[in-house]
Amino acid sequence: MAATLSYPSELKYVKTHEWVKTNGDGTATIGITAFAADQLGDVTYVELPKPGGKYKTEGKFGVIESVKSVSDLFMPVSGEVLSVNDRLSSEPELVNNDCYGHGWMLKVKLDNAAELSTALSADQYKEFIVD
Amino acid sequence: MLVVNAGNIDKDWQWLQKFAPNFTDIELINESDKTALLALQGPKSAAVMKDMAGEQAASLPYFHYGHSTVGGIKVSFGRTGYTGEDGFEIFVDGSQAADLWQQIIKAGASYGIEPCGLGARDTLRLEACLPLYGHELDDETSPLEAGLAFSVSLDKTEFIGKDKLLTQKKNGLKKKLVCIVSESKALPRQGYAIKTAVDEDPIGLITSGSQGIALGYPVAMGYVPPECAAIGKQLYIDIRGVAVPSKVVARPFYKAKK
Repeated sequence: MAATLSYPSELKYVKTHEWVKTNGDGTATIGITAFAADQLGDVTYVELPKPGGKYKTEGKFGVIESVKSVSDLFMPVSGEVLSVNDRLSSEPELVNNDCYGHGWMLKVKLDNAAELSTALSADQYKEFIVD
Repeated sequence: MLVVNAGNIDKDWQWLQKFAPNFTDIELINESDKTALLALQGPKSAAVMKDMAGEQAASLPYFHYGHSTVGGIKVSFGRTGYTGEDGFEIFVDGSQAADLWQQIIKAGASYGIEPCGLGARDTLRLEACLPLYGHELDDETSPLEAGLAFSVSLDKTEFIGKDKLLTQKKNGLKKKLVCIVSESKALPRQGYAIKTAVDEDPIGLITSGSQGIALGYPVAMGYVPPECAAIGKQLYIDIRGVAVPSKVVARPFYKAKK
C-alpha cells in the first residue's frame, strides 16, 4: 500500500508526517503526507488555527480526526499563520484525495527559512516510514 | 446454544460452570476453539445465500436458525447479525472456515461483496444503536439501563438477577442509555463527558461515538440520568475541552430498508 503513495521531491518532510513547501518569498505551505492520510483513513474533521497565530517547530497547531482515530498536527517549521485552508471544514476528505494540493492546511510566514535544512528530503522520509 | 462475545468466552464459561451444578440435566460443552462464525451482512445477503445454499436457506425468517450445505461444507446459520442490516451468521467447523470464506467471497462477487472487519461492524452497529460489551455494556450495567428490557422477561418465575431488576424497575433507573447527535464535525468518542450546560459538571459519559457512515454525520451513545434522557433534550459533549451542543434523538439513528 505505502509503495503506491507519492512524496513529491520538491517538498520537505518531518517525522510527525507533515510536509512543507517553500514558496520562495519567505512563506511556506504546510500539510500532512500521503502516508499520514493513508494511516488515518477517511478524514472526518480538521481543526486549524486562526491566522495570526505564532508557532514554534513541533508546536501543536491543530487536530485531525478520522473514524479510526484523532491525532494532533505539529508545525514542521516556526512561523506565523497567514491563512488556513477553509475548504477543509466542509470537505475534510480533500486531505485523503489530494494531500499535497487542495488538501493543504496552512500558509505561514517563516521565522527562519534555514530551519528547514534539518527537515527530511522525500527520499529520507520514504526511508523513515518504511522503518 | 449460546454465542457469546468472543472477548468474554472465559468469563461467560466460568459463570455458566458456577451455576451448572444446580441442574441435574445439563451438560456444558465449550466448542469455541473449533467453531468459526462468519457474518454475511447487507441488503443483498439473502441473494448471496440463495446462490450458495438455495431458496430454502435464503428464506429463513429473522431470528431463526437452520442448517445447510455450502459447496460441500456443512454449516449452521441464523438470520441474525450485529450490523442493523439483513444478514446471516454462519457457523462452521474452524478447519473449513477458510474454504467457506472463499465460497462466500466468490458467490458475492457479482453483488459487490467486500470483506469487513470489526471496525466496519462497529460503525454499523452504532448507527443501528446496538449496544456492545466494553462500550454500553459491562458487569455493572443492567439490561433495563441499556435499553434491553425486551430481552428480559420479568414474568418468568425465577432467574439470576430478577430481584435486582424488579427493584430497579420499582425505584427507577439511575442512568439510561441515550442516542446523541452533536452539532460539530468532531467525533464524540468513548469516555468524553456529557453535560447539561457548558459550565456544569458532567452528568454522564459517551460509551460509543463515530462517524455515521450511512448518515454522514457523527453519532454517539452514552449514559445520562433518566431526567435528561427525553428525546430532544439539549446536552453538551465535551470534545477536547469544547462543549459541543448536542441533543438526544430517537433510536436507532439509522434503520435499514426492509
